[in-house]
This record gives sequence, structure tokens and C-alpha cells, in this order.
Amino acid sequence: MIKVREGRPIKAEGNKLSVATEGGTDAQIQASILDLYDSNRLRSAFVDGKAVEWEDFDKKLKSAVEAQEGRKVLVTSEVTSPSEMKLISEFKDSMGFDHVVFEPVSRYGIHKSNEKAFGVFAPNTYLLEEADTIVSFGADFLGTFGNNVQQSKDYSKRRQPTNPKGLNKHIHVEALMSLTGSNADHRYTRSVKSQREVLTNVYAAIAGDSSAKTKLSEADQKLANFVAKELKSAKSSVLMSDDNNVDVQMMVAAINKALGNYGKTIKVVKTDAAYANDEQFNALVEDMNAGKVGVAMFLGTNPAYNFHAPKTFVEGVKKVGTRVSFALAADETSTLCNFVAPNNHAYESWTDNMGVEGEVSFTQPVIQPLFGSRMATETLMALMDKEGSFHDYMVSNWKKSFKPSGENTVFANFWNKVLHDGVVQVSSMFNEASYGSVNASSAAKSVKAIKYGEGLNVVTYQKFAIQDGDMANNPLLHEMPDPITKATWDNYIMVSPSFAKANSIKSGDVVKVDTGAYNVTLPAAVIPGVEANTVAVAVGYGRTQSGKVGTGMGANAFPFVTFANGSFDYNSSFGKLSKTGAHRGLALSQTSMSMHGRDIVRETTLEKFESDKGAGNKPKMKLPQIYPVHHQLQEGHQWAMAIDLNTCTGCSTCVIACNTENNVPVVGRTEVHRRRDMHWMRIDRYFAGDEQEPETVHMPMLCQHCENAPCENVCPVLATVHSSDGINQQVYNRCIGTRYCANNCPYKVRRFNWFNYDHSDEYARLALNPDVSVRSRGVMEKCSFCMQRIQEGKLKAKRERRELQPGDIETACQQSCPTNAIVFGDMNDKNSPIAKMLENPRTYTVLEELNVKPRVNYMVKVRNKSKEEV
Amino acid sequence: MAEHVSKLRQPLVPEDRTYKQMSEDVLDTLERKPTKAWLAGFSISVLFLTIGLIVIGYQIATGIGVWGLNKTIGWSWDITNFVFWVGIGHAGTLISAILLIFRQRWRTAINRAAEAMTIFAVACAGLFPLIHMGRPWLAYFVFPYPNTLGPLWVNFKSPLLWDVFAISTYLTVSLVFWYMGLLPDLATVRDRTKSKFRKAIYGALSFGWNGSTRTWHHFEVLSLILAGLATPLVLSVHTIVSFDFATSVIPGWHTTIFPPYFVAGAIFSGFGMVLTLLIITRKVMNWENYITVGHVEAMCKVIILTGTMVGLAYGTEFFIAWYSGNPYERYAFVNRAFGPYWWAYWTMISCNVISPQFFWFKKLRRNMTFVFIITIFVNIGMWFERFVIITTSLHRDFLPSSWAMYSPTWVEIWTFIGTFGLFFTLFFLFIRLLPGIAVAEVKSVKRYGQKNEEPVNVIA
Repeated sequence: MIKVREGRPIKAEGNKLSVATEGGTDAQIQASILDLYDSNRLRSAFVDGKAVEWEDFDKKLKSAVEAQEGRKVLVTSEVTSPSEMKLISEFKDSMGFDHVVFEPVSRYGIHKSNEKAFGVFAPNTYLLEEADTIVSFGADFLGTFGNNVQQSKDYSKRRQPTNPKGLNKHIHVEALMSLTGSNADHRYTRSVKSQREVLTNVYAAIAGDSSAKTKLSEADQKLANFVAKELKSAKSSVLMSDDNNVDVQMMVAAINKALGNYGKTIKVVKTDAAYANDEQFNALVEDMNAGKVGVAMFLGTNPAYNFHAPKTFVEGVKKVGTRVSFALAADETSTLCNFVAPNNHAYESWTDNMGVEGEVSFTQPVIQPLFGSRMATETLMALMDKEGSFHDYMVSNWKKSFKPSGENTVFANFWNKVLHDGVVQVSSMFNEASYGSVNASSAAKSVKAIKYGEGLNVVTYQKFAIQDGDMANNPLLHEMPDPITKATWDNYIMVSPSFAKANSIKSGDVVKVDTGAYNVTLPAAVIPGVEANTVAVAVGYGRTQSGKVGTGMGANAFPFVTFANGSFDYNSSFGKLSKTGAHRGLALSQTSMSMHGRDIVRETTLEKFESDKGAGNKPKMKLPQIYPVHHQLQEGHQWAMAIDLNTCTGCSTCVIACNTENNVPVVGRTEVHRRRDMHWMRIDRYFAGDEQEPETVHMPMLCQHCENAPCENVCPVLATVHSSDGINQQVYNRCIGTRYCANNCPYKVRRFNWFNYDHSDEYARLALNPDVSVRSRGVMEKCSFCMQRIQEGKLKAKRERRELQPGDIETACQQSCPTNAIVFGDMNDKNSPIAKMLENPRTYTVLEELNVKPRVNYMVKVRNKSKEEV
Repeated sequence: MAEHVSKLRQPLVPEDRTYKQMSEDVLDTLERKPTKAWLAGFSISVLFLTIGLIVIGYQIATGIGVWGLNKTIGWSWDITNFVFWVGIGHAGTLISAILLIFRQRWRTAINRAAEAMTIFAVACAGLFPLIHMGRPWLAYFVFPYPNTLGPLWVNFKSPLLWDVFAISTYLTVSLVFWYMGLLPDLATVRDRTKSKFRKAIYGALSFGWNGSTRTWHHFEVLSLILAGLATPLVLSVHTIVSFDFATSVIPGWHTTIFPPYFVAGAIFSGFGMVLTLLIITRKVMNWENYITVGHVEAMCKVIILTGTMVGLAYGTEFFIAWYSGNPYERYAFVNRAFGPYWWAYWTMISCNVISPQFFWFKKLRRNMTFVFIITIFVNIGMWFERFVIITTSLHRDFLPSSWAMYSPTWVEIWTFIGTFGLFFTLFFLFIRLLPGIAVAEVKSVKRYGQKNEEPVNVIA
């Protein structure tokens, strides 16, 4: 859902009617608003670099396509829209095209193994709410693996210790520290090779294939035994791996099958959707180089940047006669194309989308195309000489398949309802596979036979914000501190503390990773939980054609990917690391690694929690109360917030939601490096324990709206004052900028406008929320509890002549949260969720010994620890 | 009558100087062309002042972001410099007011220059609260002026507002006290000058002083009243400045010892700066007969007293941090001494606690070069004291997630140098245009410790 003000979209909101996301979003969705207003977007269609009218373009393209011999190929990213798929298949038939799906970070291994095992080329749908035990080998399922919003939502429901089904147990094995790994109950650091070996022995133990058993190191064997035991003893479980190797995924499938997980916690569903096929795309690039391809169209893909061998692709594509790109803004691939037909942004488009659990969602435009672009689907239709718009096409499709049922007796009513709700259940489009037996013994042999290189394992991964680099021109995402490293803007080479110590490398030292075939030179980031013989580089950076923000940011890691054993392998490069002697400090929003033994994040174990609901919630210090209670803060609405540290995953979606809601400026790399990020909401991350296998906690930190606010009494001009409904307010007009309030804030959540931050981009400024003032330089700002939303909710209730109900007012962070970790409301309304949470024995306030009486409460983290560990 | 020569007291003025010669010694500088040394010093000061003004203009035009501050450290060099200059501004009034009340007659030779220094230092100090604001053009918001913005008033609970009143009161009283003391000397200048122009100027400035007994009587009474008013201010100003920190919640700031600790530190630093200046002035202006080694020695004794008090405060802070059992407090102090800013802490300890201990030796107290070097150390040490208190407390407070480091930018460094430019520009103008020694008062102690026709009833 998109919030539109004064005719312009300003913010993405989750759709509460969706059974899959239940109103959750992620950082990319929240940041997407700036992509709509990206002034680097193309302003018209182009033929041979010249701007042309669309009619002209269509004529020229048609003759150029017809003139070509050889293969004609439409390359797209994964397509989950039924109407688009229908159009594409008609396009294939009438125009003689092939359809190839390319994803730079592909899950082909899973698709292919599902095809081998169950005859369905499709990804897994994980139903984590049903799983008592989750074992993940490298799969960052809360961040960059699979349907992260739905998975986070389901996962978080089982992270509430009061869930009648109990707290799930999450075991994570990975080579680098990921967002998901940081949330695990047990997390183990293992190289990619060890992961595969451990997985093989887990397979041997669970699927009963003793021939697969390998001799492992003592620690690895212990881990294999532990994982096998935990999986076997669980009532329901799920095992997942992000390994793109088909054979590895066959073993995973065999284990899940042996555990009886299919149909319960994992579903493989046949739909019309088209999923990434590494082999087909690789073959296409070979065909291009062989001169066999006459027409290539690129929709939603940018292989010139993110194919693992960009040079091969570029040489190949140059041999293609007619090259068409649908890129919104010029990118590495579109600059190689003689036809560029800029697609509409999603907010300007009609489409439908098959989600999970039988749900189809609908997208309708919220604004006219800003830049003379046109939906790619309509370009395809023009090529096919189809009349009408894609909207008409979509409606006629749905009309054809519409069958009156229940309340929906007339199509028009059905259509109005789905457009209103945005989602509809159409289970007929989702056909679950039948799960036959899975034989993975030959796969296990192949896994054992995989050869590994010498030296450091160079693995690539996606950062939660930038992911595969498609949104690399989005400043909000660049400035979002990474949930693990807290770094902004650049990518970097993640190394383990032990490796750093042995080679005397400090964070920020510029190092070079060289595999012989490819090298990158980037600053090092020393991060606990990285495997000692592994270095990790994020993909999605090093764009050469992206826009004023993305171009030249960081270095491209895609060339470290290889095509091995029939799929893209993201972890198969080996090489060495050398120091360059240069230093480039990382732009970190947080530099401290640990809590220094302070009573900040409280946590306990499930075992202790079961005997004492308030376990772990004992303050280390208790100071006497000598001040009187503020009586005026007892009456009327009293706003408060509670954040459940057990369900918060640290994903930082709320940070971006807060940015877009409250017009928080992006300040750039240099300023973040000077520790001047402006985020009203931040996620504090602390590591504890062993450096190789640390435990991690995440704590969202925002203005605590203290009843005894230390910031208020120090302001000489009363620019920060308390409202009668318990909000610590900042009066921008009155602020003269002494910064005393920020100094005296124990939580350091106040942000100062050091300069006049840039809101001058004539398009980007359209994304500003008109309900929130843009601050000038020299004034302090901070979280307002989304004052404008409170006012809006109160006014709405008043107009409707009713009492304010819980749920009428949701802060931006709360609304966007995929795990419902944030609850906000009137604590004086005794029936509200917030009032109940304040009574919860897990609830506490940070630094309560200061007696500042924060209105933001936290709930103790409960980890589900096994008694036996590795 | 038998002549009486004191065995206890050293004369404050050489025996051979007549009253007329004393006037000439001091006031001749006003009537001669400036010396080369003066011109050189004045030019350098004006140069630094100009650079300072340009830098401040740049900062105001661009934003405070040109400083090195960040989301964690909201104050550093700005407030360090502010407290540093306010501290220096303590000696003058202390010398003229408190020593007047205690009848320390040796003060007469140095009180004029010390008071001038106070006023100039307070002017430098006052600059920082103004320019450290994000929007200095709205600085008038800090005054409780009647306005039409609704019932909009200042926050009387804020120590920053107390600062506004404390500093402005102190500046006003110091200025009045200083100017009032200048009156008889301005009249002397008026009477000595042959230039009509100067006569008119100094005549106006001296408010028609006529030297009658009545005038002198008023003068004496007003001196005492103003001294009485100024005395509590000496203590209150730095007490209130210390409240900026003491009333906060930040570990390392939130300390009840701050008021006496800051006052002792202020007197310490003030005397340090007075000595630095006077050792130069007495040499350059040939006033060694009036600002004697005895004066310097007396001030050294004040330095050793206040320096030791400051040292005691440092120790007490550490003890209480440990004794409180408060982990944040403990960490703040351990971090000061052994954290990333350890060098600042140990610079402070060496300069403020160790270096004044040399003044236990009379020989060293009377060695002008040595005293000069130590006073420079005291100035450096006291600057670092404020830096340590402000920056090292802020940079690592409660939540480790926000811990940060600070380093100044060239803008902050030049702003600070610019205030020295301002200070010395004013000081050079002062010794050129106004009597640098209170001639009338020195004349009153001419016979101090000297041959007397009859014993004078002097309270020692």
C-alpha cells in the first residue's frame, strides 16, 4: 500500500489484509519511494542513443526484431505475475521468442532439486510458524533468502515465549555473520566446505544413507551429531541451506523428506511463475558469443553488471543484432542496447503477483508515469500488435478465469474488492507437488567429490539493504547501517578477528583480495563470527552505470561467482589477501562491539523463563525514588511503546520507514564517517562471548520519551518540552542549537542538523512527507513518536464520533516491522496491547536506575538453548 | 619623631620615586609614540583576530558542521574554550575585590591590568556560547524579553540560562568596578596632557573628576561597595559554570564537587594567566619597579594553593567514582586516565598538579623565567582540564553503541587562536590608551614598608 499526499506517493505501508506479510515490509520496500523519484530515470524511449516517440520506437523495434535471424530471447528476472506470464507465453508463441530467467543471486539449486525430486521447478515455501526446530546452513531467511517478510513474520510468532506452540529453536551454521545467524539460539561458524561435510553426515544420519558418511574433524562431527539429534527429536522441523549447488539441495530435500517436513513446514508449489534457471542463461551467453542470437531483450535484469563473467556477457551481447533494455534508468546493460524502452516504476504500473499460501496480490498505479516511460508489458503488447493497455489485458484475463462463488457473484464486484484489498485468495493457481521419495545418494557422492581451491575462501553474500545492487542508486539503502557490521555506503571485505590478529589488519585497512581470475581492493571489516579461513564480500556494489548515488560506490563482487556443477556458485572462489598500506575508515554508525558488561539488553534462557516469567529481568542497580510522580502524566492519553527484543531481528526496516515518514535527511558517507548520521531510530548491535562464535543482540533505540526527561530541563529556551500526553516534543522554531539536550541524553538519540541538508533535488523532494516539517540547519531533532500520525488518528476518531481504539494509531516503525516487535499505544487504555505489555514480567526500561522513566519499554530476550551444546 | 623602618615588610615602591615621577613612569607610555615591540605585538594580535573573525564568519555562514563535533559529542573545543576563558577572567576581580577587602595592599600595582584582563577574557569567553549555537542569529531567545510570541519565556531551570545571567552580571560588575577605578587616573592623564583633543577625550572619560576630598570619599565608598558586590560573583560565576555539568546526568559531569573544584581551578588559571601577562608587561613597559618580584612571588603562592586544591579535587573525584559503586561513574574515570584520551588527562595532571609544586622553593618563585614557564604550563593544563571534563565524559557515556571519538577541525583551532587575537588586541590597546597601573592607588602605598616620619597604622 502506498500513502499518497497531494497527488504524490510518499510512503510504502504494509498491507494488513495479506495473510503472508500481515502488514510487514522490508527495507527495500520502504526505500523504494526514492526510486520512483530518481532523477536519473530515463525520460523517453531511445533508439541508438536518440530519444524517440513511443510510436516511432514501436515501428523501429518491430522491423529490427523481424529483420533478425537466429534465437530471439526475452531475458527477465523471476516473474511471479500470472497476467505477465500469460502475456509472455503469448509473446513467445506469436513472436518466436525464448524466455530465459536470470537472477544474479539465484536459488536455482533449490528449483532444480525440487524438479528432480518432485517434478516441480519451483522454490520452497517455508512455513516457519509450524516448525519447532529450524536448522539453517547459511540461509539468511530473515534477510536475503526467500520470501523474507513472510518468513520473518512466521518466525517471529514462534519467538514469543508465550506462543502456545512454544518457542522455536533456531540453529544456524554459516561462514560469515548474517542477520539471521545473529538471531539464532545456537550459531556455529563453519566454512562452506565444512558446512557441506556436516550436512552430508546429517544426511547420512537422518536419511539412513551410511554410504554417505564422511570422516570429519571432531568439532564438525559433534556439530553433525547435534544437528541430527535436534532435528530428529523435534516434533516438527525444517532444514534449509542457501547453497546453490543442486546436489547439496538434493541432500537437504532428502533430509527434509526423511523428517516428514514436506507439506508441513515446507511446500513446493507449482504455479505459472518462472524461476531462475542458471543453466539456460549460461547457455544463452554461450549462444550469444557464438553469434547464434538475433534478438535479446532484458527486462528487470542487468547481466552486464551482475553476470559472473561480465566481459563474456558484454562481448556476447555485442554480437546480438537487436538488443532491447527495459531499464528504468541507464544501467550497464541498457548502455549496450540499441533499443531502450524504459519501464514504469512499480508505483506507476498495473500488475498482479502470486505470493505464498494461495495469495495473489494486486498492484495498481498511484501516480501517472513521471518520466515518459511505459510499462514493459505494453511495449511487448505493441510488438505483438495487441490493442489496449496492459490493464485491459489483465482485467480480461481475470474475467475469463473468474467463477462466481460465495459473495462474489459479479465480476465487477470481485474486481473492485481485490483492488480495494490488494490481495485475494486464489488457491486454484497454486498446486502443491506430491512428495515422492527422494534419493540423494548419488548427490551425496557428488558433494563429497567437489574440489576446493587453496588459500582463503572468498565468499559473496548480499547485504540486507543493497542486496543484488538493483537499487544501488537509492541513498536511503546506502545509508542504512548494516544490521551486523553497522557500516553504511561502501562494501568491504569481511574478515574474522583471528585472521585480522594474525595478519595485523584493522578495520578500515585497505586490502586486496585476489583469486587470480579477479581481484577487488576494499577496506577490511573485522567482524566476529566470520570463519577464520573465509573472507566475505558483498555483491550489489561497484556499479559503473547506476546514477549519481550508486555509480562507483564500492567494488563489484559478482565476478567472484563461478558457474560450477551446473549452477552459479557464490562460495567457490579461493585466493589470497594482501595489505595495500592504505586506510579508508568505514562509515560506521556504531563502533563499539560489546555492551561492556552493562545492563542494557537483558536476556535469559527458555529453561529459566519457564520457571520464572521475570527471569533475567533483575536490575543490577536499584536507586531510591525521591521525586514525586508527575500527576499530569497520569491522565488522558499517555503514549508508550514496547519493543520485544525476542521478536526484533535487527533487520532495520523500521529505520528506513522512520526516514521516509519523518523526512530524515540522508547525509552521505563522509558525514556518517564523522558520526553524524541523522537516524531517529537506530538498531544497536552488541556481540558477546567468543569472537569466533559470538552471540549477538539487537536493540532498537529511539527517543525514550522520558517522563523525567534530562533533555528538557537543560534547554535554555524551552525548545524541548513535555506534552500532556507524555511525549517529549522538539520545537524546531524555538531551537537555537546549543546541543545541551543531546549531551544530556543518556540514550544519545538526539540528532543535530550540522548543515542545511540537501532537499533540493526537484524529484526526490516530492517524496517528502508534507505532514512533517523539514528541519533547517542548527536545530535539534529526534523521534516524535510520529506525532503527525497520533494527530491524524485522534482526528479520525473525533470525526467518526468515537473513542480512540487501539490500532487507530501506528507509528511508522511499528507499521513497517515485519515481526510486530514494536507495540505503541495509550497505556492508560487498560485494554490496549501496550497496557498489557507493560504488565508483562519481561518488560523493563533501559537505564532505569537513572530514574528518567522512559516511555519506551523493552522485553527480555529469551533464547531457546539446548542443554547439550557442541 | 623617630624614623621607623619596617623589618617585616618589603617596600612596594622604590624609595627614590617621587609622586610626580610615579605618574610619569606609568603615564608616559600614553603620551609617547608606540614602541616597536608594541607595534609588532599589536599587529600579530590583529592578524590573528582577523583570521579568527573570517573563520567565525565562515562557520556561521556554513553551519556548525565545519567543526569536528558529532551526534555523541555535542560540545568540545567550543565549551572548553568558553570555560577556559571564563576561568582566566577570575583573577582580576579576585585581586581587586577580595584582596581589597582583605587589605592586601600589594595588589595595587597589578589590579588594573588584572581587571582589564578579566574583562577581555570574559569577552572572549562570551563569544563561544554565542557562536556554538546552531542558529546564533536567534541568540536573543536566551533573554527573558517581553515578546508577542505568546507566553514564550526562557527556561529558568536550565543551567545555560543561569550562565547567561551569571556571566552578564559578572561582566557588568567587573566593567563598572574597573572603570570606576580608572577615574582618578584618567583625570591625571587629562591634567598632564597638552593636546586639546586628548584633554577633551580624557576629560569626558574621567566624568569631571576634581580630586576633592568629597570626590575621593565617594570613590572610596563606591570601591568598597563594588568590591562587596564583586566578591560573591567571583565565587558564583564559576560555580554556575560548573552547574552546566554538575546538574547533568552524564557520568563525569554529574558531580557535586564541581562548584568548589571549578572555582579553585578558575583562580588557579586566572593567576596563571595574570602572571604570564605581567611578567611580559613589567619587562616591556619597564615597570619592574612597580610590579616587583615580590608581587610575582605572592601570586606564585596563590598558584601553589589553588593548584593543590585542584589536585585534591582530581583525587577526590576518582575516589568517589570508586566509592559510589556506580559502574558508569567508575568507567568514566578509568576511561579518562587510561582510555583513548589518556594523553589529555596526564597532560592535565602534569601541568596542574605537578608543575606548581616547584613553587615550594623560594628561589624558583623569584626566578622570572622559571615562573613564566610554569605559568604557561598552568595555562595549558587548565585548558586540558576542561577538555578532559567535557570531551572524555561525553565520548563514552551510558550506551556503548554511541561511543565516538572527537578531533578538532582547522576551523575550531583557528577560532581558538582568534580569541587569543582578540584578547591580546584588547590588551595592547589597553596598555597604550589607558593607565596600565592604578597610579593613584600605587601612590597610596608609596610609603609602605619605607621610612616613616611616624608609624602608620597599616593593617598587614
